Amino acid sequence: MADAACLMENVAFNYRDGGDVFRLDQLRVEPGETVLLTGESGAGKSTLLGLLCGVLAATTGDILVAGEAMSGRSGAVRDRLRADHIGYVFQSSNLIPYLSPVENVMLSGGFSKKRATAAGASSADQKKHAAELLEQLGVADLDRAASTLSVGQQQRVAAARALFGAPPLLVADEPSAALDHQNRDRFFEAVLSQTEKQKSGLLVVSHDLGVAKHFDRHLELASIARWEAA
Amino acid sequence: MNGFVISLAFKSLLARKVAVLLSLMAVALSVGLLIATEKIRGGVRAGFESTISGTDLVVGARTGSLNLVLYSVFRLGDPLQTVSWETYGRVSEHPDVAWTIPISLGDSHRGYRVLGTDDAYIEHYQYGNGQRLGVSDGAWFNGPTETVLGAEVARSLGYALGDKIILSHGIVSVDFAAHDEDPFTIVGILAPTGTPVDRTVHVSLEGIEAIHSAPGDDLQPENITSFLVGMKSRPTVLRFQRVLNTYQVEPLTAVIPGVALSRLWSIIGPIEVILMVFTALVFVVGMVGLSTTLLASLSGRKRELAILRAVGAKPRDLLTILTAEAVLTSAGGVIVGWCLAYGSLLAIGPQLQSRFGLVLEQTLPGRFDVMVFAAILGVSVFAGLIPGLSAYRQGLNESLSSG
Repeated sequence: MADAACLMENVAFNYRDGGDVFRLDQLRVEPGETVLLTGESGAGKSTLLGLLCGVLAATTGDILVAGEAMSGRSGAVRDRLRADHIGYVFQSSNLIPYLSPVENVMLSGGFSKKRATAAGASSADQKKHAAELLEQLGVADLDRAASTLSVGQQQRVAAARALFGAPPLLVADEPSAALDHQNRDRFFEAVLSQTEKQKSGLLVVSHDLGVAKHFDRHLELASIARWEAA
Repeated sequence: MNGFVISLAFKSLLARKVAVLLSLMAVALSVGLLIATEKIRGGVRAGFESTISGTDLVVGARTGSLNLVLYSVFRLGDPLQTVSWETYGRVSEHPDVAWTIPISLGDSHRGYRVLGTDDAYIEHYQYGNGQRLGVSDGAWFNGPTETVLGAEVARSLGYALGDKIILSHGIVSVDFAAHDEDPFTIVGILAPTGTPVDRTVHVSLEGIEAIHSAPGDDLQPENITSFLVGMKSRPTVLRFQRVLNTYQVEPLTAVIPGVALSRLWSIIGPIEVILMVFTALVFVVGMVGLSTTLLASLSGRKRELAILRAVGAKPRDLLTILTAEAVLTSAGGVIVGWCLAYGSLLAIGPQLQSRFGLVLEQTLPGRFDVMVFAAILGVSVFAGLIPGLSAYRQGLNESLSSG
């Protein structure tokens, strides 16, 4: 069986010694699988995302991304694994204002040789790949300054950046929070058709249960993780 | 990979053109002012030290050595006593003495000092690095009613060859004491030297005598104010100085100009320190401005740094970007500042020389400039590191989840 896009097992983490401990039993996303994770404020969504993306270091437990261990590795290695294997979409303000949409998308290749090579052999090919992704996600104005795009268009550029170089895992934190319903549905349809094409796993964290229909699976964070007093 | 990071720094700078240009100009002005001030300071000092050269001894009646140098070399202050012509004759004929230049002061023309001397002045007087005086227009005087003007006198009073001028007794430019029966004809104008010679009206010793005596009197001078001595060989200077200082016939003071000049500089030196302090303050203000701009720009860029972290940038990459931006800005500022300083000094150099007698050495950037550059780079690396380090420490987690 192919490596899971991501696998977190028996993970424990605390922000400071003696503080509450975050415990997560298991979270597994298969390649090409789309998972919606919902939870109350304070349930540990940010902590989970931090651990999964290698920004926080787990105290115990296993975290694997595309079969490579994130847990127990140095910060520099975790940064490299994130660059190589994970596409990340913020809730909003995803773009570097002084770069064009295409340059924003290609940013992913700038910090990961693996992603750049996957996107194209030459920088011209990579640029073409970036432009195609943008087109498929419905971004029309490729030459406009990123900061002048509408919020909906900005989120699409961010999604294209996360998809660039076909990483095994896409992670999005409330990516549709700034969008109206119509835009939200179109956004997910576009992103999901791309992840399916690339066989990337997708993990979306959201409050919004209205988007659940787009996903293969819906998980309540409370069912897999909890905070325990030390 | 590093090239990619640097290219991001470039694009980020270009995107903030106005702010970057403003801080670049702040650095440029600070550096320009610093270098220009330092150049002028060096020029003032070098100019002071090169007022007179080649002269081994300045000799006058018994007085303080500073006083003697002030009126003999700088044409400042008033001589109180005189040296007899007889003594001057005996010194100039001494076998160790190569040459002597007599100086007779006491009159003025419209605020400029009149100096009575003879042909030895144009032949032997040296300034700067052993440069000799030159007559740029006309010739040296050759008679008791002829005069040769310093460059500044001719320029500022608008005199030309052939003009007749009247000398007044004393140094105040009022008319009641004018010797108006004795006009002098301008026969020569000296080339500019950047020394007090430029501000001097030169006449013959006989001319001085003629002003102060009735027509028909003997014009042979009886006294002079002081005289300059050049020795045949350097080692005899100290011995001869002692001989003159203990001269029995008449009380004399003989000073070595270099020694007196450095004593004089030690008196006016504190002014130089004040100038340096101000220069240093300008520099510090510029550096504080640079750091402030860099730090202030950071708060608006937290988001940008978080995005870069999310796509896999290491903390080191963020540090590189912020430091590169700071260093590029200040290096640009230093280069513009250099151009400003050297350009304007080149442009106003001739003016400074002719108006203030200030000669600026047209040298290439030297050790001082390198030190300035190093200091600014140091400060900007430091100013880039502070936000870089705070970005380093800032958990990505908060930036990952903050919308």
